Amino acid sequence: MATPVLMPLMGMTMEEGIISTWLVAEGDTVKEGDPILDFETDKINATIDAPADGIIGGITAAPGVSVKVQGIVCYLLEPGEEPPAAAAAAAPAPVSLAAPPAPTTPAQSAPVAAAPVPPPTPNGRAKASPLARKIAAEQGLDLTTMQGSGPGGRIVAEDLSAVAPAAPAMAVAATAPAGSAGRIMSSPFARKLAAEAGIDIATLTGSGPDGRIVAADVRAAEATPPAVAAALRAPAASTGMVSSTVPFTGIRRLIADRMVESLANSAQLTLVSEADATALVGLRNELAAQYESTIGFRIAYNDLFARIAVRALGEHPNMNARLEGDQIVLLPYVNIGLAIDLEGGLAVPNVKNAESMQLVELAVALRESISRATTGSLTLDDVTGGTFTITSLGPMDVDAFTPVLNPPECAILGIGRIQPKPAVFENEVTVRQMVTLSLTFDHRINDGAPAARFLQRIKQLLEHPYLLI
Amino acid sequence: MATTKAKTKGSSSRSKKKARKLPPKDMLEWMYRTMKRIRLFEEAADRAFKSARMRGALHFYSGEEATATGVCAALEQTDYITSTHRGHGHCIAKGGRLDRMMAELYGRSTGYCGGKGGSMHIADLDLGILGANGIVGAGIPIATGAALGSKIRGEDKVTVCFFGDGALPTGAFHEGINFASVQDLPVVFVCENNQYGMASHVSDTSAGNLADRAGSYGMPGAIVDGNDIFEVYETFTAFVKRARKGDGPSLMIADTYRHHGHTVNDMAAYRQAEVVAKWLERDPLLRFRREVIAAKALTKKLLDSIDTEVEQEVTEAIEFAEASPFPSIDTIEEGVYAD
Amino acid sequence: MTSTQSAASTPTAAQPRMIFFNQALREALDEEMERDPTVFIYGEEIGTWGGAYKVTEGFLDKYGPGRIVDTPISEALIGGAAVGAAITGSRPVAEFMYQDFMGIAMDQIVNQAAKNRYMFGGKNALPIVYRAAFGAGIGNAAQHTQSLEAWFTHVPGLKVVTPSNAYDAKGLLKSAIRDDNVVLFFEHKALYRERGHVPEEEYLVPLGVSDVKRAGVDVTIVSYARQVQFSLKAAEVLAEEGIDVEVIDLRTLYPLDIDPVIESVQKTNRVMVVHEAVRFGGFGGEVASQIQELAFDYLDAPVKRLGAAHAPVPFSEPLEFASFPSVETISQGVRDLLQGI
Repeated sequence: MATPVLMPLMGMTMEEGIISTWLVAEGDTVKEGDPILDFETDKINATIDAPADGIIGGITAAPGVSVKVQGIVCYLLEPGEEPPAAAAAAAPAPVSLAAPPAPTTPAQSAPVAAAPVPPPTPNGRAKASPLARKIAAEQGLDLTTMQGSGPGGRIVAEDLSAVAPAAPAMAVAATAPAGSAGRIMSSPFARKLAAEAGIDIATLTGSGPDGRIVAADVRAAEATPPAVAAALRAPAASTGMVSSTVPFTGIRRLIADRMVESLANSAQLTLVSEADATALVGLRNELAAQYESTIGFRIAYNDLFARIAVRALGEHPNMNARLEGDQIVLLPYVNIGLAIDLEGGLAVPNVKNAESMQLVELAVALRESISRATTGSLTLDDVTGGTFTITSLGPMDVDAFTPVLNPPECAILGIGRIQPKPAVFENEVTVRQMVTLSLTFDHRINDGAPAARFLQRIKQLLEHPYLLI
Repeated sequence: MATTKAKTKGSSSRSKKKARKLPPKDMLEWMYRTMKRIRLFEEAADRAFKSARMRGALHFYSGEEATATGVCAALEQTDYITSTHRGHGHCIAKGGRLDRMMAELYGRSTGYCGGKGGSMHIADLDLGILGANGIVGAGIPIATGAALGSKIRGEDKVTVCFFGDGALPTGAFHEGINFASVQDLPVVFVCENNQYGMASHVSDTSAGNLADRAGSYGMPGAIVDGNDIFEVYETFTAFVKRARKGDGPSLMIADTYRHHGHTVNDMAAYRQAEVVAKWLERDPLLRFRREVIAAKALTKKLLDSIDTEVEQEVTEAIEFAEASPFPSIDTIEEGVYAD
Repeated sequence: MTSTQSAASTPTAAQPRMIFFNQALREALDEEMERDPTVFIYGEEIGTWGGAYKVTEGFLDKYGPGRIVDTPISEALIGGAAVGAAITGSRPVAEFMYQDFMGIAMDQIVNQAAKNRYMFGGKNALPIVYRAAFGAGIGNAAQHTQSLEAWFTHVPGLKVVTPSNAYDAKGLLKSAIRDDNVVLFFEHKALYRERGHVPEEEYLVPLGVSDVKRAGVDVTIVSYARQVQFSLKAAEVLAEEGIDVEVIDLRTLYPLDIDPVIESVQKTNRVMVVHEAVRFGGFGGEVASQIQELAFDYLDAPVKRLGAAHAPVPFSEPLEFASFPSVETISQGVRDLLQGI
């Protein structure tokens, strides 16, 4: 059994030894303890003694050659034995001494760096970054019902979305104590930059820890280059126009991102159909008068359109579907959303399980959504989970348009103005109340014909509302 | 008080001496086993270091076994010792377990100090080992303090302070033994004069006759052959008795030699080969064997069987150390303060 | 003062040699011993042994026992003899084998050497260099691994110098010997076997001048001694992540050249101080405090400090390496700093 003779470690900083003189030769017989090799390191000259009895063989290095610590210098063999193949027989891997071992637990930050964490001040406020707070205010979202993904459960901008994607439902949050109240947290450098740029730091939202305003936020707020900004600030003598900027942040940014995302990730196209809404108008007026005293408001066209859409969706479940991975899921419920124009943005709250509601109940529910939207008290549940949306630009005298899908929905019904127009009715040209319907659908999920049939049914229900009974 | 010099300084006395009275058999067995444990422990540690299985600063006691063993043979477990960077021998002779000591050298959590101290800082208060010290001379005031404490507490305990010739010129040595003498403290100072600091010979670092220091501080002193365990034992027993009686400290200077260099990487070129060879002939284990066999106190067979048992014990100590886990990184800041 | 780019980072056309840190120190001592006969070296095992880390190897043969003096283990003697020799006209270079042993000499260094000139009305100079090996990383356990430089920066009358590489080591030691003040020259023991570019021609590195070892724009790291090497390695790691780190080597702790640090912070707005010494009460606190005083308006994040755990250096290998900053923790520190934490 060949015994390897290894270069010993003679000091903590030794990496290799240089062979000086072989005191024996190949084939010599040695006893344990006999000196066999002189070597030197940068610090010392030393000798390797035979670790066992044997015959010298397989010398690996000549004088002047350096051998790494624990490298093989030669072998001690039994009579007739051959040394192992060169370089194959490695010494047992030593404990690594030159390089520090990887720590077994990632506890680096505990012993070496400890930034002191300020103690929380409890006051029942939801812990949210200033940016998240701003978005929530704009969208009318209630932060106390949300859970945050930031440090310590802080709600951050990412956690909010006005038109929610198919994200996992967020549970109602336990509120965590918030940081200091009232003081604007900003880094000294940010304040300096803001002062130099003439920006009021109180108008900024911070992207640093705990919502600290940092230099990047100030730089972002300096939206236009100084020359252009100066030109814009200069009074325009002749036109009387003034320049102003609207920050492309917050809810505007969110809507922008979602719109682009919707258009980029689906195959949208719009079908347009004109319908005779004369009967609908009559029905609406009667219903509005009938129920005003009991429900406190006049039933609106949107309520009827919503009811019509829900009914049609029940018959065309392929239009109440969503794409999930490699499956098209036809949903067993209709959560109908209504796009609401708010100052500064758009909100689309939806009413859950509209398929089980009669018209009045649906009207009341929609009314409550509108009320919450306009008072800024929409909840996350209001704006997530929708399956179909209707959007009306009729009041602004728009007829046909191309509404953008509200992902993950596969269809959206745009409703134009209801206006008296000449039309053919019972073979005569007369004045009828006409309305244009614009149905955008996702061609990945439905082809043109099924979508058209759905739109046709809507038109039919709209023109003959007694069919809703 | 006058200094007494013990007789044996040179090698001439060896062959001519009459057979002297030896300690009883069980003591002889203990002495040999202990010296052998020290010797084989050090050799195993040397091999482990050179094969890069263990790291640190190792200072081997090989060659000096008779001093630690001869001293600890006269101590109770409740007596105290302070040790040095070259202290494996002290700790083993005072009852330290080889496995836990080796684990400490390997930096494992099962070592005497949980891996936190290493070779130079082994301690076990249950065995009365107040700690090995990496600072030369620092143990002297500490030993003096231990003796002071046990005197105040009315305990029947003696403290032994081990240190080397390198400590004789330190301020701490003088402050320590002076105070021990002034206070008649129950401490025995044992200087292991292995002739060298690192490369400095003791004659270049300490002035005058080493044992005269004892007399200057009003205590008995003796120079003994540190490689003759029976001489060490006999002289030390007298000093321990003195201390236990409350008569105060003593200084024993044991002439000895370290077989290895100062550390693993010291080839000790500063020592002449002939001198080294002469000291190797005075190897305490060889001398012990020769004497007890000649006196028919122990048989060669018994001694050889002790050799085999100790080899096994050392092998198991290595295996224990290598199989033991490292302490967790989370424990870095533990043990700094008492709760 | 303005900082100078260290020549050590770029080999010149003449291809300066790569030599070990301890060899660079040896050359510095050799050149100064030759140049000035009043210079002498003493300490434990510096003669026959050649110095615990071989810095004075060969000197006993070359200069003889008159100027190369081995002492017993007597640190108080080592500290105090320098005072007597210096005040009477010599330029002693005293070696403490380990910085950890200097505690025994504190009275001589702090109460005598540091205060001598001042107490005596400023009439005399004490041209002393106290050298010592310090630092952890080679398993020497608690009493042979400390970084105690902060003790000495706190004593008026002392200068404190610690190089991070062979080039600075030689130039700084020569300057220290020529300085007429008490200079503490600390050599990190894990650097002794590190190679660096050192020119053949004579050169000096002035005391009291910090050095930008690596220019960058995103984050500033301020460090000294071995942690400069770690910081430079961390900078390479971070460069691959698109983070450009500026590394400043203080070299002299007292007198402290803070100007390059302030200029750097004005550029990067984020700064981290790294040293191997214990974080609490470490020299990094002085640097961090000066930064916030002098560059307050430029800070976009709190000044970060990395240092060692609050414990003696543990012996066990994984604990020893985890107890003080590493390339990994420095890199992560920079990433955290960019997040403002």
